[in-house]
Amino acid sequence: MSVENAPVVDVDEAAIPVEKKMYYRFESNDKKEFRVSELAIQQSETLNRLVEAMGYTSEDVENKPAIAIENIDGKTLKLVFQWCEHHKGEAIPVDDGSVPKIVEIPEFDAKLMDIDNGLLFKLIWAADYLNIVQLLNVSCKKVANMAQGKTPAQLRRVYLLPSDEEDEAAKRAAQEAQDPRAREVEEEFEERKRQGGNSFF
Amino acid sequence: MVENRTFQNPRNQARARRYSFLEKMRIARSKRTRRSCSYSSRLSETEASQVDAWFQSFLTVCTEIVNLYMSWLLGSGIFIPSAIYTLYTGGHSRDDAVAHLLRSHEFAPEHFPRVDYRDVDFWYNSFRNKNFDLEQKPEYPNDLTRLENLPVLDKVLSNVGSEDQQKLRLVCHKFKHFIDSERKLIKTIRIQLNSDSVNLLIECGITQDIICTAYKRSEAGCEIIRDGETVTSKNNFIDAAMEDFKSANQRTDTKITSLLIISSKGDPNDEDRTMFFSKIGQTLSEVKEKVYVESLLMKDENVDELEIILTGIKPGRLSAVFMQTRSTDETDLTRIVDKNQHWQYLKQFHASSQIDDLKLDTIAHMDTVRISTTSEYSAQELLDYKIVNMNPSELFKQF
Repeated sequence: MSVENAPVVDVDEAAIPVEKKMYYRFESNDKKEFRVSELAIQQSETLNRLVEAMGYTSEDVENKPAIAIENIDGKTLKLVFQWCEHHKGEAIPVDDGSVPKIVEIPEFDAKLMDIDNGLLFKLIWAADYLNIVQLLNVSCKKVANMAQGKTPAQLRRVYLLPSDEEDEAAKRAAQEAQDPRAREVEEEFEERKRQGGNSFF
Repeated sequence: MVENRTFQNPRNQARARRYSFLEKMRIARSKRTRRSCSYSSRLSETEASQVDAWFQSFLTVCTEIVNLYMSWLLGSGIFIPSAIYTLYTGGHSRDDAVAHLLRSHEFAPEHFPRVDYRDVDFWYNSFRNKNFDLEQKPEYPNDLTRLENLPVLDKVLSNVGSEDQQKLRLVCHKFKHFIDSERKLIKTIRIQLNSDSVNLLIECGITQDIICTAYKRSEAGCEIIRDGETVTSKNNFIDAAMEDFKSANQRTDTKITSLLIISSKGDPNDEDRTMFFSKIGQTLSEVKEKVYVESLLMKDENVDELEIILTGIKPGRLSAVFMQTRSTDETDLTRIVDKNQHWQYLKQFHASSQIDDLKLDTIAHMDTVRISTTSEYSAQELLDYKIVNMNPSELFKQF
């Protein structure tokens, strides 16, 4: 995707000072490109270290290929960068136990995370992967809040979790799909067992 | 110089042998250099160009061998783990390691493959767990849209209340196994100070097993009685109890549904009492993270002692405080009400002592409050705050 056509994450223009700021380019695994401000990147420990180590100049950013983030798709990455842009410049919480951790979900975050569970879990995964401490805190809190006062059956529905029986059946189906001979061997083994043979071979 | 040296002991003789060997090597090397110089001066131009051509073809062969070796190394599967291992042992953080590896890829894309964060995470975790087998094949979850595949499941669970966590155990085997293996759920811890002993009861939130231990004062130190067996210790009975109390609390994210701290009516002496509470305060401050307690019950304690305990508890988690003070007349709870960091998160507050000058908005966020107060309120105020006036001297608020 060309730079001109790249979807640009909404940026609060008023918040950008007059001096020239650098915008880094990132590419998701489905080849969607994002331009993210230097300040917003600081929310991600991983990306921040990465751009520091790369030592890109403004020209490099434009001329070199976008930095690829292989295992996050465009939809998730868009949410991540929206969050980073909104919270740019904010202090990153230190997670060393020295400060009591009380996680409150701000209104913007609550709205951002008003998405289907699959995408929410992907967002958590991306926040962990990119080491965005506060996004990880609020998203984990959101998932935890979903458990409040639910029965185990409701929890299965809320978290899209299979029951043990469904899980076993899915595993068996996957195994069979991988090795069609396995089922035959298993049936043969069962048959021999029924016939009273102790040894399969 | 060498000849003049004397080497009497075996160590010095060995040194002499080594010295003479190095000396011989130096002489041989200088002879070889002189000889090669004389050869080159005797070579004709044709011969010299032939030597150059041989040398060039030798270099080409060497480069081929190096390239073959590099291809083998890249395909062997231990190239990247080895690089990551070097960064790990060099003390680089996970993010630094990824940045360095990506930089290497950027400089030599044909010789250095692009590395994924997942690779670094996999190998760093493996090395941290003392597994240094570089031939392992990293495995990654395929479906990231499933909760059970999240690498931060423990972080999600740390935000879940103990009751909900119990229910999550029943959802599937995977969750049950995960929660049980963490062993971070305690239903009750009850610690009671008597005149000459401390009783500690710990009820596991997973298996419901109960461990009761008595620590009795003795001349030599104390006797520890558990499961009918008595063990003697040189420690003071309070110190011995605190060791076990600490070990129950020291794992981070351990959730305690109820913490009960009781001073028996058997009237422990003031010295023991002061020591008991200062040790509890010390123990709670020594654990890595503040203790997660959902409900705190204190019996026969005063406000100072309540404050010591509250300081050691994680704010935002404590939702109920039940306090039965020793002497109601002397206790002033006003410094707890609305001023303590736990206050805004409390849903239940019951206290036997009197609170002067209680403003109703300070308790408006709670579900139930049972306290005594000397303050007077209008009927409208009581209606506004849904207060049920059970008794002229006692306020009871319940939604």
